[in-house]
Amino acid sequence: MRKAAQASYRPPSAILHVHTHGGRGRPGFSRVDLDSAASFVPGFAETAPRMPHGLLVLSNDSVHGLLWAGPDRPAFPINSFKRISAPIRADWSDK
Amino acid sequence: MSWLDRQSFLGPDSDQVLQDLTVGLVGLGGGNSHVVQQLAHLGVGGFVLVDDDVISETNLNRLVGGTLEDVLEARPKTEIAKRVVLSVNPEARIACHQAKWQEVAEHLRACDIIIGGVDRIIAKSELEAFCRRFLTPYIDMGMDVHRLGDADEFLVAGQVVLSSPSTPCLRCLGVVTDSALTEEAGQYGDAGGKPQVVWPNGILASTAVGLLVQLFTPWHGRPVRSAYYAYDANQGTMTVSERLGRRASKDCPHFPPDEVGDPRFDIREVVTRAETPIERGTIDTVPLAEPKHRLTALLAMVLDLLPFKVRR
Repeated sequence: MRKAAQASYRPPSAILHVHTHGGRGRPGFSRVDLDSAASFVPGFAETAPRMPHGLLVLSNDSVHGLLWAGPDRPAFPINSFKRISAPIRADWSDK
Repeated sequence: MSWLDRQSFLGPDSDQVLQDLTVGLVGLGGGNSHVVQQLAHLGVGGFVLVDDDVISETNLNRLVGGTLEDVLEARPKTEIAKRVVLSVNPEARIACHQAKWQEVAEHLRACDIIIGGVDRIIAKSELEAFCRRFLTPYIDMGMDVHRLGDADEFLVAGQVVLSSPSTPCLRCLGVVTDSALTEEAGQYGDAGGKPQVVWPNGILASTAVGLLVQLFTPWHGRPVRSAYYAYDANQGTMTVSERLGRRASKDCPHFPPDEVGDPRFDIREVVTRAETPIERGTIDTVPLAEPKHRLTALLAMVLDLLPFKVRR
């Protein structure tokens, strides 16, 4: 975590804490995930206040994420993921 | 029954994928006039059309969709392209910008892919750099007519390059070189109109569209992120450049992976703007992605900064 925070300092970068729950389909965050994020995301914001920070949780075939635009602001869900590969895939959570 | 039924082999969800796509076209002269027409027929739903020029008489030999009346009216090339698209797909989302692309770069960030139809080497280089910074695949087209010796003979040739993040760039592939940039700078204001004709543009544009389609709705199992096709109109050949094979396994030294995103980006300013009522300008724009405000995160762990701009 400390190395990630250092790396995000210059150039300013968003820090996304990533973990996997395995399985298939769109994963969700557990209460433990959200409680722990509440403790470490504000620290990310102190390191790189110009950037949003957040969480990603992966399954074997999908992803879900939350971002915080600031330490005092509520999280909002990431509604699109794009895989820059071949083929390029966009995953819209609100469709 | 859908007007796209005959291309259903592109995948069961290909209509929707293409409908959701937003393609940026920079330069709407000869090459991209073909491209925009083909994309409309494909069912691509979103277009960001950028060109600061109006059609002139000498464009009529190659600008698909252009008419003599357009010349008399000095119609912007963006408006001609828009008309071509809407005549095929009235539901298309189109943003027209009669401007230099650097002046409307924020709108180009909303694009899933950008296709350059620009002549100058420096323009290719700058546009690719923009695309690399925002992790946007870029397709470059170029065509040239070369005199062969002193004889009254010519070589018509060109290239199409697909440049994606972390793949060989135009410099790696020798399309952009210091010597070409220097030569071009020396000719600035003195070059006159470069020879251009319609049929090589059509071939290059069709190749570019094929690369786009295989990237988003591949019809085979080996879509590519990087391509370099060299066209020789004298031989009638389109071949994969050997240079790509030599560079494919090497890292691109010109665009390091950490040099991405808007260096001036500040989420605090975005939040402030998001809470301020929108001031609409006079630019003819249609919302590109409403109501699904884009918030795109990249699994490559690099934040694409575009979505916050669109979210306003």
